[in-house]
Amino acid sequence: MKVRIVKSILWFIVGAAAVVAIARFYRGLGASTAMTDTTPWGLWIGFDVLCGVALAAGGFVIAATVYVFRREKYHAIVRPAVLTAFLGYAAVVGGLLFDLGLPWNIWHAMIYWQPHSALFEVAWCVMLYLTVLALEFSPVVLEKSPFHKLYKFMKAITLPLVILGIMLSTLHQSSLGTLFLIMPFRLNPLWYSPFLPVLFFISAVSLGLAMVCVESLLSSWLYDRETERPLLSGLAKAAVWVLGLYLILRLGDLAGRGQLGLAFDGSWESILFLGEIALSAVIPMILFALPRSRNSLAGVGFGAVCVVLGIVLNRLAVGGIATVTATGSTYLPSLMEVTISAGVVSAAALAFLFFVENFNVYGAPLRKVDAVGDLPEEDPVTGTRLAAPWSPAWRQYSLAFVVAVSLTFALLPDAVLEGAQPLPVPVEGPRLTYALKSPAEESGAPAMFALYDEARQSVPERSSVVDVLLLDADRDGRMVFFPHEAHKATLGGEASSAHGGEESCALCHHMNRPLDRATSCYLCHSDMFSMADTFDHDLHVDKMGGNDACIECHTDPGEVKSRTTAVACLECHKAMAVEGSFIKATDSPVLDLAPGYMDALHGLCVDCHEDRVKNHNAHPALARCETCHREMDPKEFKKLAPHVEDETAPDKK
Amino acid sequence: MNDQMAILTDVTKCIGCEECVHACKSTYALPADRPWRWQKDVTDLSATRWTTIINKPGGVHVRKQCRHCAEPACASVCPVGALTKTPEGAVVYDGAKCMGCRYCMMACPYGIPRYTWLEPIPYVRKCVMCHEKIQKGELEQPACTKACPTDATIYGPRVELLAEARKRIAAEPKKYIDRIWGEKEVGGTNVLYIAGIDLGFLGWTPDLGNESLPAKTWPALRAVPAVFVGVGVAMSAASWVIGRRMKIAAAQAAAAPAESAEAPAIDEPTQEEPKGEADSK
Repeated sequence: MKVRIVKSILWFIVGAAAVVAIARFYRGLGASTAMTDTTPWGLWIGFDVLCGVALAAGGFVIAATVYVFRREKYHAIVRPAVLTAFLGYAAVVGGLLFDLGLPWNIWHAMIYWQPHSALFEVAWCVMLYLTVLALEFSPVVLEKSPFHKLYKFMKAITLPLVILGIMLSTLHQSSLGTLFLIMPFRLNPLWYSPFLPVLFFISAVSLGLAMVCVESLLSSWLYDRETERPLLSGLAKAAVWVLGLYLILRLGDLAGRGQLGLAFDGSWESILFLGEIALSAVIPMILFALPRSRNSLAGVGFGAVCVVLGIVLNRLAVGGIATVTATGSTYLPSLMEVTISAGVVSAAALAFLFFVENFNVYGAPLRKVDAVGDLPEEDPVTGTRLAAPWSPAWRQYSLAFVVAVSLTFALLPDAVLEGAQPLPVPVEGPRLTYALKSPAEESGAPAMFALYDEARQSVPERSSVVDVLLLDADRDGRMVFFPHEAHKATLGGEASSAHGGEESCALCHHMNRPLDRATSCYLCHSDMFSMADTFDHDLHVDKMGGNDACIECHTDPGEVKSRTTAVACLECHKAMAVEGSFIKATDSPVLDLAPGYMDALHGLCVDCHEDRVKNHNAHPALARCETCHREMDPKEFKKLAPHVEDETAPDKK
Repeated sequence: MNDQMAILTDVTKCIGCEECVHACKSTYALPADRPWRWQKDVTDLSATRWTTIINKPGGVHVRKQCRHCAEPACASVCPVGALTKTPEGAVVYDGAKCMGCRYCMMACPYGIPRYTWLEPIPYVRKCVMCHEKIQKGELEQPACTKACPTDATIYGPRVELLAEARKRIAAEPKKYIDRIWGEKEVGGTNVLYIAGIDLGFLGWTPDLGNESLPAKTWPALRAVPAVFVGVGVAMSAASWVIGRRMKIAAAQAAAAPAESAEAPAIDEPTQEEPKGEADSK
């Protein structure tokens, strides 16, 4: 029953991860992860790769103990250790495929030779070691197969394989530390060390020992199996030495670099560091050194869990947490990243249970609770079997999987369904204020404007005070004085016929949006970057007389009724874009992202003034940036024209 | 590296007009900058903005772009050689080789490379000094330096630009801090700055030192073949010696049937591995 519950949970997680996996590849890393340009490595590298490889170190440690150092009594745990290592590395590669932006290019690391890259070396070692592990484990599968010669051959080359495995493991366990040698500026000095490769290797050995204990205890609990208590005590005793060496090197390295003081300066990094050291080395060393706790399952189990958590914390710190201060960017893995990581681990665990139940991993195959049940009787007439030939356990797993798939689909965030969307930006509408207008020169130079403060300024001779609009929608303090009245006068005004009568407003203002009141852009595009769907289908249906009117726009009944086959808006709304309008239609006139405020206004002001300079040689200064953009003290600016919310809530303090 | 081409930016001459930014964007047809989850500040470098202007108090404008290091960390860590340092000086990117590990983004001491996070098929983006277009003859110099209306950023052989920078500092020592940023930093860069303010904010830490970053990894990587062979030999030897000892012990035990020897604890093997590692490093 225990096994069934655990397996159902694992299948559930795998089901959720399967949906997220599709989403990740469909919408990309931006929509599914929390990674940014300043934290380009997240949970998938920190946990799946760095921790995954270290957690699988038990394979080479135990293989070395048994085959090289001939400690035959540990033979009983070689197979599970090698199996864990193999599945662990398979999970690393699987996890990596999610993290890589272009995973189908992963083989490039094999053909483009880059010996000065630590990652290149890691890639080769992991690939080779995964192969070696598969070969090391192959006798377990082959002994049940009819290929006896192959089995004998694989058995015979075990020792060379084990030694090759140790060589490769030594290299890449340490090289994962080498990866970070090139980022001394990112990594906090409590974690950055020129000896990172050595520290990574030694901690991996101790983690390998601890992980073998954890896994042995877990499988005994799961299958009510006798625990290999004396073996685990032996491993714990060995771990004391390795952990001691790790502790001495880690602290000695810090002291040697004169950074030991940092560990006690009370910063959050120092607390993390002390916690990590306590978990990964101090507590387990005490537990493993005392014979009483070492010989008890609780002592070994608790100590081993401490080592696992502590060293996982170390890898997560090096992989990301310890870089937060330097880069100034925080990162919290997204739920989707967590789901994928959990799914990869769960899949590996399911594979582990499969091998344990079907092959001689722990001596004989462990008790199978979800064996295929008796096949139901054939129907005498049709010859078909009426019930699925599945055991109840498999039905339960399928249910867990399917429920997880549907739940995850239901809960997927919008960013995944629609793709990542730009963030809304708070904007500020144009505000009316008074400005001093300089007298126009005879040379035709444009009038200059300056903010006018009645209390402090007097109006100079020949100057006048006029209304201007202050434009600073993105609130960056660089605002533009826009003499709206002057533009209205020049372009024709509301009643003028110069540009087609009332439609002259439409030269600059959208006139086409349903419910639009010729307002400024910000009133329509209140978040500036949202979908500017200017077409309201329901409104048209209502106005034109319900379903009978479809044909008015979708003129060809043979065509699919879609935006692309419908009559263009301009065919009916002649005034939608007036002749000579400065508003540029985008490629898709109906449905598109509205241009950002800056693009919209630049498009209006700059394009028009550049055109006037070119064709009328009028006001060349107005086509230049500094004519409009003026730096201003934001405080002064706010005093003159406070933001809307500041105005409405002045007493809030 | 002194015959390589470089860019010199004189921060005191920059008026912050962003013509360089727009020239870059139009040369590479980069779409509009938008705020995304990973891009809170649209005026910072992004996949659509390969160079930008950072406005500092006092009307100081600093152009930020790839520094095109002499010994680029990004190119040295790339496991597939998608980033390479050209003999002409630029550090360029080949998307066809890239596998998207983003190690370059982690390794860059200036935090320059950006990722097209929005795309399901993403690539790294950064300034490439218009290398390809100059090689093809489409451009004589990078679009940005050509566009600069005040000649605040200029293009030329590195050695000449260094001389020019020194000349300017010597001519107006009060205007400039007596330092050419990029002359020696992280082994020297091909984008140089002179300024009246400290430009330490362009890197992850104010002082990046003069040692090139690949030099920090190389001692460990150089040891790889030795460690590999060393561990192999040590393990084979240990296996052979222990196997032989056990055989002799078994023979003796058979000759004189005696008490079974208690196997020593497991400390020995696990202790030896780290030692072997440390020795061979």
